[in-house]
Amino acid sequence: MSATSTNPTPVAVACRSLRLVRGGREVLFVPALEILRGETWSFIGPNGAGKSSLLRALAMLDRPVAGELRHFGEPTPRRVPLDLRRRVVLAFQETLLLDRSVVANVSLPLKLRGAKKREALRAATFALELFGAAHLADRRALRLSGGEARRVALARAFAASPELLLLDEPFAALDPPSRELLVGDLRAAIRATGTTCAVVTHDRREAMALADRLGVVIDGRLVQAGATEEVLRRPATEAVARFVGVENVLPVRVGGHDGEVLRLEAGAVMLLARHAPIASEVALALIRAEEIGLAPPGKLSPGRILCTVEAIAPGLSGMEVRLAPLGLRARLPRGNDWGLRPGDQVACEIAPESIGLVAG
Amino acid sequence: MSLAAEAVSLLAGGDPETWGVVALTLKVAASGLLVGLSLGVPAGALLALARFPGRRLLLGIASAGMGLPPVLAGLLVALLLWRSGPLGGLELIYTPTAMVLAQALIATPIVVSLTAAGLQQLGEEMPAQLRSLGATRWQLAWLLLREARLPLVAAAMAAGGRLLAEVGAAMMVGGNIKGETRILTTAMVMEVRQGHFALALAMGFTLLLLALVVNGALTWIQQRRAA
Amino acid sequence: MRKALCLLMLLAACTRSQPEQRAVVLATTTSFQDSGLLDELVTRFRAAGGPPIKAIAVGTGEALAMGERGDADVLVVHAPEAEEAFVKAGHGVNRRALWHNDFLLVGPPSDPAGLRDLKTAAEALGKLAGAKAGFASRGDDSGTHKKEKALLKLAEIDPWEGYLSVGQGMGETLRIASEKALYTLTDRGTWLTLRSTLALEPLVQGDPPLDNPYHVIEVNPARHAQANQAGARRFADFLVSPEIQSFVARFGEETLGQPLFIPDAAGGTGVAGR
Repeated sequence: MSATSTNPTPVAVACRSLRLVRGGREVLFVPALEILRGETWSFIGPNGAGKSSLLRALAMLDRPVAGELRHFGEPTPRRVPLDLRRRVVLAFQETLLLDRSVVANVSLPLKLRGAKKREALRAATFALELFGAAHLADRRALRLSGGEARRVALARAFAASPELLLLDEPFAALDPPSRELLVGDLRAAIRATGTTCAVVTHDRREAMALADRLGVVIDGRLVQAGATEEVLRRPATEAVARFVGVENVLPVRVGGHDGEVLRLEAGAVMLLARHAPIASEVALALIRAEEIGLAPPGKLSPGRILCTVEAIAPGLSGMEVRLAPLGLRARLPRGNDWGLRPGDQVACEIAPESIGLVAG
Repeated sequence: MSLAAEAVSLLAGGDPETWGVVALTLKVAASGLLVGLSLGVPAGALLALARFPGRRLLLGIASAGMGLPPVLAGLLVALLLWRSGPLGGLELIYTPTAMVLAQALIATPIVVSLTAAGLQQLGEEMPAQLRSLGATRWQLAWLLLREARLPLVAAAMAAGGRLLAEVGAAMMVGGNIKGETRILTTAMVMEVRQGHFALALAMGFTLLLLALVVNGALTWIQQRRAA
Repeated sequence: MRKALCLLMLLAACTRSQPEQRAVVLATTTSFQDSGLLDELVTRFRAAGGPPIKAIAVGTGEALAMGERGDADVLVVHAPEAEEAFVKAGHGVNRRALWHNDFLLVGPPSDPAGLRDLKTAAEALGKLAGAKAGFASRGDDSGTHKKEKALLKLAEIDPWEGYLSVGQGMGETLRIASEKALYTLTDRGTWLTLRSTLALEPLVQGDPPLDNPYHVIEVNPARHAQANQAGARRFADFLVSPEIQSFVARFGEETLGQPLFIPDAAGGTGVAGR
């Protein structure tokens, strides 16, 4: 055993060409993944994509049929020894609390590891305070509300100070205000304890709020992983783009390039993107709604397109505007829409670096 | 109502032979239940938690076994223990041990089935969650059984009740021998046959009382608040 | 699994009792038990220093079957024809007469079939069949049932509509007959014990075929090595001994006003009875 707590390796868990099979079917393929200590990862993807399977493999609950898996710098043995397994905690989507008091539930991981009563109580109380649930300590765990139970379950996961903490949909079944509060508390807890953490969620906004690194799992495959901003701005495939909420996916023809600038033809309209090597002639331009700048029609230039408002309607984060001729979707802050109405003309400005490109 | 009055006075009378019968009834049923629990709880846990081919079939068999007619259980044990049978050399036929064996045969499927059901109710992911929190196999088993204490005690009560009331198997493998294998149910059958209704009633009331006390104790254990 | 079995057998072997005190399995009939005489004799046998007796009271048919299987060491039964076949087939030895009483036909006081004071069982059964009267048969292959079948055969009568097979002991059968106003055949011992609780009356008795002799048979040790031959012999000898025979002669006088059984053993070492 090389890695000890006095000289930990920077890599918490890493895998390469990992294949997971369940019931005779392949459920997950991970080409490569590296989670470093101190990082907070979020794995997003459609339901049933394989995210939970990934967590189970990282938690050493399921054995991969092929590929490399390393925990804390060492290859993960086929028969996982107890000490190694105990360094990783996975909290399932269902809260799965036991029929006893809250504090008994939260101190369970410590008791299992042989901690004395006092130490377990201290750690449990600390964990409960991280999630503002200390006042629930003596309540019966099965009588809590959904939100309270979730906080207790999270506290329980944190209680034993795992070196790697995995959370499967920790905000499931909570109403939006509760979710927001909990996201904030979870982020604070992660920061406060410096825990290496991976969270599965199907909500990209929560992913953005929590994690500095993002992994996208679609159809049983980890298709993209990297810094959150990077993934969101530069989706690697159309599927990822759609999932991370890029509103505009535009078929374009790739024209020539002048130095830094690449010309893209979308019908009669020309867009300028940052030059990136792209093999095919046909591609998809990925543009986020908030990257489309709107201004009163005026001087036109490449990069500034004259558009007509097709529709404008209030949305969750502002006014959603649909523009002709490309069907672009843009967004305006609420209360700042200049009284735009369908039929009005407006100029669109899209910075070249805001346009992602995927081979079409 | 004089029959009932006679019965009560017989009960209060404290006839040593009758109390011997009561004591043996309790001993045999308790032993049978203990064996049934020792075999049934681990088996039920295995069926609930492990995954192996034929698991569902075994669960079905255990379920069907809950309806095993006691007299059939008695016959099966008798076939084994008769001198002409494979285990005849053990000279266990017509002993309380034989009765315990037959009763264990009746109790075990009940315990297996209800234990498995009780554990499965905890949630499919519960074992995995507890393992992930750091439980060893033994810690896991202990936690799950504790968590399922309500259905487990119910299983014990169901099996225990069945055993106390059982007469067919006890008659067949015990023989209702005075002072040795006579229990309340077999004695009752004999007393009724001989027309001693007051005594039979007294025994019946005693049996009811036993069942009440045992069930009461188990219910108290079941409903106690755990820490 | 094998290891556990071997351990069990070892344990059993260690705890096997001394041959002199090894328990004797007695297979006998419920009528013998219900009369109370069985318990008395077993107690006295023990007091006289005999080995423990495991008395299993079942129907005569089952008692004989136990003897055939070797699950009993000694039998006390009351079915002469079946007993003779049993001994002839080599399952039992040393069959000796013990005592006897008799059977009687009882029925509802109103006696719709008009059996009262008929002299022979054959006549009575004929009348029952003719009137299609309700009759409760034990139907359990007991000594009483065998006697009933023998009587029917003798009179060349087949079961008629109204002939009910109850499949239970004498006490239960009498109760059913009492509740449903049926006729039935009963042994005198059980009748005397239960008559006060029944709505029935004795109608036909005294006919020689209604005799009910009890015999003791030891299970053939040549056939069954595990049989407790010594204990069986000791118990059988005890039953035919003069002291016990005279005890039996008085048994029942105090409680029922008349003795239940009439002793038959000739001197204590007699052989085959009637």
